[in-house]
Amino acid sequence: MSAAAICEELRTLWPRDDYSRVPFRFYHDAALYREEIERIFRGPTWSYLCLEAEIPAPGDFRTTLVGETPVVVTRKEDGQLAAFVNRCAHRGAIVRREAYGNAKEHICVYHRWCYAQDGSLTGVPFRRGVGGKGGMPEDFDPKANGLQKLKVQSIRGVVFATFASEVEALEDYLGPVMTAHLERLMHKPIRILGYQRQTVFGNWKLYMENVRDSYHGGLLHEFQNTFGISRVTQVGGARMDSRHRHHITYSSAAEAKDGSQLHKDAGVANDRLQLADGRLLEYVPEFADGQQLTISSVFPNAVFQQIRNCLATRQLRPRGVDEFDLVFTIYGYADDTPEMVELRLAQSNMIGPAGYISMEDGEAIELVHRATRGEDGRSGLLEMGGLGAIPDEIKFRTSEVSIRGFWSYYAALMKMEPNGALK
Amino acid sequence: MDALPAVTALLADYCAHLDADRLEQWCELFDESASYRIVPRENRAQNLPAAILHLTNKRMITDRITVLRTAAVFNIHVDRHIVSAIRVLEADEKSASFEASFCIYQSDQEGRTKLFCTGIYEGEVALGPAPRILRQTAVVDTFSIPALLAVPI
Repeated sequence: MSAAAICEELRTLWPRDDYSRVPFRFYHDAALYREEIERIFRGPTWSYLCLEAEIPAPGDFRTTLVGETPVVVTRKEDGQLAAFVNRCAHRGAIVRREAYGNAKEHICVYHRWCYAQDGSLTGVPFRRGVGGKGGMPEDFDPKANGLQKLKVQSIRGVVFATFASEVEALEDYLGPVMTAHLERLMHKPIRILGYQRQTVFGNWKLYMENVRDSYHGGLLHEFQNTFGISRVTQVGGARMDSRHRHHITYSSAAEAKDGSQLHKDAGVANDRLQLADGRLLEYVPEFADGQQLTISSVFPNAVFQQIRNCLATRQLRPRGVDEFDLVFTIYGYADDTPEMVELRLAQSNMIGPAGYISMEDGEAIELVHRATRGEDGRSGLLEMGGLGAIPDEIKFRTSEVSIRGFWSYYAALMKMEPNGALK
Repeated sequence: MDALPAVTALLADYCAHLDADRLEQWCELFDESASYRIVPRENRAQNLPAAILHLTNKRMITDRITVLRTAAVFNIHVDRHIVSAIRVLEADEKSASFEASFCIYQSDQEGRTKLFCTGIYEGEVALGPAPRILRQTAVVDTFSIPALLAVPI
C-alpha cells in the first residue's frame, strides 16, 4: 500500500468530525506509524532538541533523536548552533557515537570520513588513491556529500530544529501563547541539574494525549489530588494556539469548589495519605503569575513542566509503533542557592518514572495500549468538556477538549481529516 | 575488622524484604539520618545532582512506602534481586562502606519475567548488634527505566 493510500484509508475511520472518537487502530497501525515519521517528525514541524545550557561551550555536542532519526546538535566555534543527521554520507554509519562531548570535527569510525562542526564534509581518506591508483572519481564533490543539515532555532535557550526547508519561523510556529510561556519559564539563566529517562510500552500519541488530559490528574494520581497539586476542582484551565498544535494546562492552588469533598463524592480518597516529611510540597514563589502548576506540550515531541519549583523539559522519542522513550531534563536557575537546589531535587521525587505524580502514567498508557491492540473496529471516547467546536481556551479542568485539539492538527498534517473536519 | 559478614547479611535482609513486599520492614533497616537515592549512571558521569529518587532522611524513605501503600497505582509485579561482588571498601569499629553489583528481574501476573534493572549499590552501614544503613545509593546502568519504578530497588 502506498503511503498516501494508508492515510486515505484511515481517514474514513473517524466516527465523528470533531475528534470525539479516536479509532484504536491509530495507536497500532505500523504503516501509519512510518507515515508519521515522514509527515510529522520529518515534516513541517519544529522538534525540541535540547537546552542551550547543555551545550554552552564551542564544540559541545549532544546526540539526540528527531522522531527516529539520529541527530547531532552542537555549538560551533563562532557560538552559533548547528544540527545534522548523525549518519555518514558514505555508508550510512552513525558518525558521533557518544551521547555528549566536545569536538572540533566529527569523524566516522568506519572509513574515517571527516566532517566539520556544521556537518560539511572536510576529509575523505585516500581520496586521490594510493600511488595514482584507486581513489574517488575526479568529479566527486565534497560540498554535495556533507551530513544532512537541519534548520536550528533557539528561543530563550530552548533549541528546536526542523527537516523542512519551507517552514514558518519558530516563533510563528509556537504562536504568541507558547512563546510567552517559554519566556516565562526561561526568564533568567538556567542550570542543568540532571536527567531522568523512561521507556514506555505504548504508542507515542498516547503520551501526547496524556499530557493534554487535565481530567485524569486528580483521579489517576491520588497524590496530586490529596496534596492539591492538581485537582479538577481547582481554578485553572488550558490554552491552545489557534491551530491547536500546542497546549498549556495550568492551575493555581485556589479551589473553585470544595475539592476534597467533591473528589470524595467521586470516589477518590484524599485524606488517608499523610507525609512525615512534607518539604517536597513547599513552594517558593518564583513566577509573577502565581501559577504553581503548568504543563505545556509543543507538537510533536516536547513537554515543558513547572510543578511547584520542579522545572523540567521532556523530550519524546518514538521507538516504533509500540514504544517510546521520554528524556526528562531537570533544571534550576543559575542563581539558585544550595537550599533552592535541594528543594528542586526533593520535588523531583514527584516527577519522572518513579515520581509521585507521574509513575501512574506509564502504567495507564500501557494498559490502554495492551487492551486496544487488534481492536480495529472500535474507538476511544473523548466527550468530557463538550463536543463540537474546539475552542482555543478552556476555563475548567474537567476537560478533554485539548486532546481533540491534538487530533485536529495531527489529522491535518497527516492528510487524514474526516469529511467536514473541525479545526 | 572484617565487616563483610555484617554487610552481606544486611544486604540479604534488604533484598529479601523488598522481594517479599515487606516494605515496612525494609524501612526499618535504615538509620534515622539515612539517605536513599537512585542515581542514573549518566548523571553520575556528568557530575549532575538530580536523581530518580532523592530521599535524604528516614521520614522521606518511610513516606515513599506510605505513598505506595495508600495512593500510588503501579504495575502488579514481583521483583527478584540478585546481588553479587559485595566489597567492603573501608571499615572501622563503627561503620563500613561497601559496593555491590545488583540486577533485578521483574515478573508479571502471567509469570513472564523481564530484566528490569542492573547497577551498583554504593552504601554505608552502621555496625553493631543490629547493623543499620546510613547511606544507600543505587547507581543504575538501566537508567531508561522500563515503564515505571514504584517499589524501591
